[in-house]
Amino acid sequence: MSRSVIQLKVNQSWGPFVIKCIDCVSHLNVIKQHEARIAELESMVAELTQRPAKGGVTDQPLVPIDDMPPDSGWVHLKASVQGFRKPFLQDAHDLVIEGENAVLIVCDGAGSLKHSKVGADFVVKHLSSKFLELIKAGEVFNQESWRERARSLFLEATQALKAKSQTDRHNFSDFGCTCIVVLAGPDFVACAHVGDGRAGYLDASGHWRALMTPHKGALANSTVFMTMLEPASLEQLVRVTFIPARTRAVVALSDGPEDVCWKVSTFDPSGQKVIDPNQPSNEFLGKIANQLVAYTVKNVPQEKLDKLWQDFLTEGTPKLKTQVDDKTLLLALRG
Amino acid sequence: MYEKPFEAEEVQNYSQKCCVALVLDTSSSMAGESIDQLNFGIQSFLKEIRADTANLGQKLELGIITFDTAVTRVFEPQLAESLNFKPLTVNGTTMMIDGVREGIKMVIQRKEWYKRTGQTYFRPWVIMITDGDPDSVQQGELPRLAAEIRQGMDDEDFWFMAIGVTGAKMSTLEFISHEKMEPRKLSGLKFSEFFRWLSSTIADVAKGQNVSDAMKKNSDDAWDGGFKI
Repeated sequence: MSRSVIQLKVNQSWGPFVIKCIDCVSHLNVIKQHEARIAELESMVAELTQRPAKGGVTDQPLVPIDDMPPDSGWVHLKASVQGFRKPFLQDAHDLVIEGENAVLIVCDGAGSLKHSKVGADFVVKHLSSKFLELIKAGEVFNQESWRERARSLFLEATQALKAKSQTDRHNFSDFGCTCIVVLAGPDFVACAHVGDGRAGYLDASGHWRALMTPHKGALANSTVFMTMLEPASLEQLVRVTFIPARTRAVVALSDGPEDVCWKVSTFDPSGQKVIDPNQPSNEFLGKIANQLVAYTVKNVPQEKLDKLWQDFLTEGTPKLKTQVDDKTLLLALRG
Repeated sequence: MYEKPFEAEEVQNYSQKCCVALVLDTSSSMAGESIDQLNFGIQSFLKEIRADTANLGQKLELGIITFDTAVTRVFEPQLAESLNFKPLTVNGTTMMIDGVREGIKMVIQRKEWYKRTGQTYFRPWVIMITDGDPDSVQQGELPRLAAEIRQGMDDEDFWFMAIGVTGAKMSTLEFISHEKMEPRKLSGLKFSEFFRWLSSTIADVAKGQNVSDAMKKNSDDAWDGGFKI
């Protein structure tokens, strides 16, 4: 008689109670002696294997991203919801589809600044129309042109915001907000940003990759804002990324929901430090993307999708439910 | 037509830390009901933190310093959920200035450790609770302590909050406090109510809310006695 390795659950923790039997009499005796208990534990293991993890996805229909109808173009999820018990929303976003291009813009108004929501709305609107103009005009992007275009448009947005603050007779620094722009074109994906939040894309091997590294200080929530942009600081403050490859999915988010869908801090035993791996969660984003594909196959209207997405960001997980920071998460994918 | 809500499991990340140093007056004048209520308040505070659904016990690091004739670091900063609190006892005079300075030193050291180990953190708090006035030998140091607190608050190194219990000289607390966080007077011996307020305020701060909004949001009616100089 030969048995494979069996792990027994003892006192709520797995192993290292392992029985290895290679047809020897002593092991057979041990097994015989505990046969009933082993059978009981094996049936518990089988039951636990079949049972979904606590708080996890239950019977949600999942359709692999490969089943996305090829002619459906870009489909997307978009929503900004205010933080738990926060009086008003200070995030803003836009998601624009133009032919083969998808533009995702996320701005997060600084919580402590008086006019940051106005700043966030203004920057989103300004950059959305400018990037759309470029796409419509047939601009060809490469590493170089993206860097220059993105930085000049970010500076232009800041200058226009400054002019508005002067007209309104408000303190310009009170309009502080972060900004992320992701542009996925026919054969490239690009990102430009000022401040924190996260952005990523799905690579050819089906893994989600980060598109940007947020500006973060040692103090939690400290970052840089669009209002700090000057011609001399453009290179330092507007970080740009250009990947010359077609992507099937992109994501952009404010820092509110990052703790839920991104690996942002982990202990590195080799350096004895906590590090930010800046790794999008394949499990989280994969599941959401697959659910979006399932809804696309079922032709669920965009308004319904946006409502479902808004509900998810509001209280879809325990952390999202109690997060006091505003939460914006945009996701677009194509067949 | 009914569509199922979106579902996905959260990623597990390391929590950002918020350090709070409690600087507590354990001079003889706190004997009796005052120290009993203070001890009970701290125990209730720890209980609330452990029960917090937003995982505050994993974020809040609590250190405790007492001051009487001597200044003692009773507990070095540690995760509040694992702090094994033992009731405080009273003794001697009120070396308040040294106590507050030790509290400031504790949070600055903890910040350095956070930086060294790559951990992001929220601005730490130093919370001093007293029913008296510094010993006469320390009175001359008050202007310097006030300047140190002012500098620390202006540089966003820490928050300093002074709580006066019946008998506290509120004008002294007013003198050393920054206008961004004025001293407060505890109504009677409502330590439990104060710590309940502190727990929910810090919970909001540790979730990312700015301090003044968090303080406004959490009602202090249950413990704030108000005072006039």
